[in-house]
Amino acid sequence: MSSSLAADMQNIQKTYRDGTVALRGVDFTLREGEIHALIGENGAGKTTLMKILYGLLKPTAGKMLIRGKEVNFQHPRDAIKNGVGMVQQHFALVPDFTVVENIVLGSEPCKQGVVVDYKSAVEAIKKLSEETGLHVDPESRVEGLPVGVQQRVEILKMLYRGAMTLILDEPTSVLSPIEVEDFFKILNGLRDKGRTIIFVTHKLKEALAISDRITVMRAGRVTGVVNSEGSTPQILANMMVGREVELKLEKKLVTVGEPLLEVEDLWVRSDKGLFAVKGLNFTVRRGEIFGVAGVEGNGQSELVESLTGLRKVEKGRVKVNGKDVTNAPPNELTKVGVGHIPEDRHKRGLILDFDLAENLVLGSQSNAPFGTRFTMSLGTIYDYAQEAIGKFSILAPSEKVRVKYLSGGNQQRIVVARELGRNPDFIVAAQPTRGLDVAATEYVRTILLKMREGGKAVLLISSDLDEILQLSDRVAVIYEGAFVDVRKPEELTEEKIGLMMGGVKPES
Amino acid sequence: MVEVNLFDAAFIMSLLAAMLRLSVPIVFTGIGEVIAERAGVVNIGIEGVMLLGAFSATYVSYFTGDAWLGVLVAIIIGILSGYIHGVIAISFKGDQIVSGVGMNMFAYGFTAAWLIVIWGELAAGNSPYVPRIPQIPLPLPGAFSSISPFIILMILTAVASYYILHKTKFGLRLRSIGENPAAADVAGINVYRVQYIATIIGAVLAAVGGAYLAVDWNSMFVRYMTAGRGFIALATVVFSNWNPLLVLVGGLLFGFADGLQIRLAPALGVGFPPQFLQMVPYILTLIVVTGAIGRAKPPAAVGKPYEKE
Amino acid sequence: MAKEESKSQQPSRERKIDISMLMQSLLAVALGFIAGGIMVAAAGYSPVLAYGVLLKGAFGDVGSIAETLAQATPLILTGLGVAVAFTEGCFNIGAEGQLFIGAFLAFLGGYLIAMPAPIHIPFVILMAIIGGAGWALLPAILKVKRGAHEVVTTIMMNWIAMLLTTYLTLYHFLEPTASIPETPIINSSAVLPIIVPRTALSASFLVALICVFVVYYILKRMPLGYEIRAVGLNPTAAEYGGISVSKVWVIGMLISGALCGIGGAGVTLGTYRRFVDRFSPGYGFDGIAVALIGRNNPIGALLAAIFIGALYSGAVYMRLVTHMPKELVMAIEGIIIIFAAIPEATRLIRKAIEHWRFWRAR
Repeated sequence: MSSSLAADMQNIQKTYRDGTVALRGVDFTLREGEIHALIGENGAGKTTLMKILYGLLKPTAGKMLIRGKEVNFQHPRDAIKNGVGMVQQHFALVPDFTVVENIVLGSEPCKQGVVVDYKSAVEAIKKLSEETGLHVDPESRVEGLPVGVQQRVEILKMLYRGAMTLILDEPTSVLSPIEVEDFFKILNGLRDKGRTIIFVTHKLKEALAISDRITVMRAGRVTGVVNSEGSTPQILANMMVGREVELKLEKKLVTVGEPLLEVEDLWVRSDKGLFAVKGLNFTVRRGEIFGVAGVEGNGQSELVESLTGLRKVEKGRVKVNGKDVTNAPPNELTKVGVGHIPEDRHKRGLILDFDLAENLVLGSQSNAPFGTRFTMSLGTIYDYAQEAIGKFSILAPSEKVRVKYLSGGNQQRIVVARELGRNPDFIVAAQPTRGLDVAATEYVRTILLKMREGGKAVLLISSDLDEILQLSDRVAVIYEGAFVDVRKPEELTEEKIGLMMGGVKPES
Repeated sequence: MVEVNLFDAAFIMSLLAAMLRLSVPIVFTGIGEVIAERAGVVNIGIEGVMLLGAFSATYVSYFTGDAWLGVLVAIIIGILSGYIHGVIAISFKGDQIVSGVGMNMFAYGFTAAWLIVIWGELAAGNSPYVPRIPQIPLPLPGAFSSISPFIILMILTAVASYYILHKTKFGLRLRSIGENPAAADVAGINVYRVQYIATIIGAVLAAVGGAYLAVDWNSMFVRYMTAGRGFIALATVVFSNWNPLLVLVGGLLFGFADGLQIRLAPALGVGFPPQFLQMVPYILTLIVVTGAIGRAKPPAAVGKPYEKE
Repeated sequence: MAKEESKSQQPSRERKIDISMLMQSLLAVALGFIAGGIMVAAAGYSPVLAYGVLLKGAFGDVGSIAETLAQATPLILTGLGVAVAFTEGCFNIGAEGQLFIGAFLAFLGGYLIAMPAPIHIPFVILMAIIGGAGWALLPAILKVKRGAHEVVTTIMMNWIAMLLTTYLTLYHFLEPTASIPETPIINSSAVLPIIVPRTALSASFLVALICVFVVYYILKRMPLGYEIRAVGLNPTAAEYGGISVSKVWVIGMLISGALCGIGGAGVTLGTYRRFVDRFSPGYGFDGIAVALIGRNNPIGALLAAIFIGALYSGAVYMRLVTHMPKELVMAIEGIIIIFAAIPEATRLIRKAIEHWRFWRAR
């Protein structure tokens, strides 16, 4: 390991135009020839920091030096000129093109400056493949390639342009365990040949296995930088997650009743066709809040969608109140008593250009008392909306205001009002307080607790650990489509949760 | 009733010649739209651009006596129209279809009105005769005794477009924008500029196709003379799977259908209703567009304005 | 990441937005008029004179107003049809074809059948509804089942409809004594009578008005209308709300086609009392302008149709002065539509004015 700095980021701050603060003064140093892991939960700021290093984003404040030279990147082009390349989580590949075409795009070797010289490009790629062990067929179309191979194309793309520093954002999320081993061999090979690698991940074991040093981030700040030799998952987990868990809300003692939701051997595919949920088994009983924690992208969305009629269950069964509702459509689930607070209220939960009242009746527009198949009772609908505004403390000038003008907190209240208004037995709440202010957050959590006290059940999926620990009676941590473990919140410490979120089952 | 032997050599020759000649406007316009759509921009207004090209070529040819000059001016009109559509679709990120429909309506109205403005009340249906593009004489009999230079240009354009799209740096970058503009952007390509260029090229080719109709195939401007050929060109784009060489094939197919109804109807006699033959190109288009001939795959990001994050 | 909420609780801005939509339409119309003025000037006439004559011709006296409304009648219906389609996020450029089919079926119903008037008229209109809706059904199904883009399919259906009706007129129902290709007169029991004497304004205008309210009722008070609007605004959320997106989509297209069919019936039963070959100077396309200017609102469509009807009826007078044919109106409509395609044009103009003021102050 050399001691010169491949990259030196000093006091980097980033505040977005809408006021969100992503980075609060981060110092990050990268030594030449090392493999450096950058770990943290969702929202810690790791991807933001790397996007700044790659020139995709500009910092609001701070200085950046590459090999001692101060730089000001306007575009990834500048980063690449300085030898910095990045492979993002969502690949920037053109599916219809071949591997060669993708690799040379933007830096095409040309004869007379016009015609692309594919032959020399293919040769160069083959040489790189030999050198690094990243084998690809240059003539094959990217679309048909398995994701692991597509990743190799992305890496080759950077190497082709002479990147000496490689940023890899969650690279193993698309690899099987065997592929991960090979991948690590390749990374080590790259390092031995003089390249520097940043490995962004939330997987603790992998970070320890592959890296020389580890930087831990939390809530826009760096909480620690350690040598991986001599460090343990426990230490990392503490730095990643450690904060005082505030148990502000009062949780009453409730006797748990009969099973309301029974999930047996659930298998669900993701959009890419792979299995995102792998054989889940669990039961949620009346009077219980079952919390599912975990870093996003481990199957939560697919789980939620499979339980709310929006995604196909490939294998397994789902029962509500004893009735088999596997693959039932949304309106049938509503009839059986399932409510859903969707994680993306703008996409799924609300029609932004509809007014408050219209959103409240979405799904019930042709049912009594709001209407029949042929007519809607506007009077009833608007009266109901007025009541709901009071009952759910929605801050809106009237029931006729278009929902897009309301704040996120009030929008969420409308979603909650709608779902609760149908008196469900069971609610699936996905990231229910995301993007909400403190008041709205407390409001939503109180509602969920009230449901629990009323003998109903809640399946709570959240990447907010405070929320999960405060509200849940039992906590499951999901990792790569399966539950690492299911525990009572009292038994959990920040460290244990951190471990589980990183894929490690704690001993005790 | 005129008795015609349908398998008479002369008749077949005249049919083939008609097929070639009628394919030209569709091929030019179709190739232009392929280029634009491969860069992600849809221009439904090419029917209108064709009309504008036809009209301007007629106008210039009438007043200068030079049909080629007319084509040149049509090209300029094409550049302007393409630029306007680009401003709305690319810079303002407006609705590409609505903008195209507006362009069509404008062209229909403007050209029909200006016929009268320039040539008076009597010209409501069509302009007077104007000088035509000189044809190239061939040592062949009958219908092929001369050939339009545009036929050659058409083939050259198809080959050149294919070559540019698939072999050159510019073509690679253009195609990447139509499939994944974000990837192109990250690779350092100026997405908006390339889209503008593609849209303008598309409009220029459409204008040339229209000019051909007025000062080569015909030698006057007839009100509404494009008769939906711009939309048939859109269908050819789908039929050709966004490949300029196949647009040539598709154009010939539609040209054949078009020629059929023009040549065959009188040949079959007064008693036979020509309308059904006239319907053939449109029904053919329907069939093509609904993928009855295999599913065509459009560029993945076509029609979606690109937002830089 | 901070959970700060940057949006504070905002008061209702719905008023502001309705006005903004109105401003957008007015802006597009104003720009269209300016462009039209430029065209008139380029042809060598005074725009002020031309527009003055146009306005007087459209609204000068009772007779003119009646003519304007008569011109507007088919546009109200095609405008409503296109507006319903737009509401569900679909482009029905096939209004022209659906208009022709409706008009011809209305002729058949009026010519071949004899019934007492109070039954005959609704019956014939029903035939037109079925015709128009049926003509829209094929493109709708092709889109839902095969993903065929409705713009190209509906335009092809237009040409096929025109050719088909021309054929039927010339070869099966030709009025031998006529100078232009048209059919014989329909039975008097099917005629929609003139309501203002010595004008072309017939009861078809009243039919159009009724349709405006019917469409309003459907969109605002029926679950179907709610679902159509939901599908147009956010199909994902609509699906989640249990709405069958493809089913609603097809029904919306059928309603759209039906309205255009009624438009055609209005012309056959009220204006000409027969089917005239190629009678439409572009009513279907005007319908697009009407829907865009009227912002897909039924009342807006009514006003926009009257506006465009005024342009056409005034254009006849304008022609006497400027020799500009009524096709100029189409050109102006085209420009209006192009400007209507620019999203939030008013916001852009406000920004441009701000920038200009900023630099002037320096």
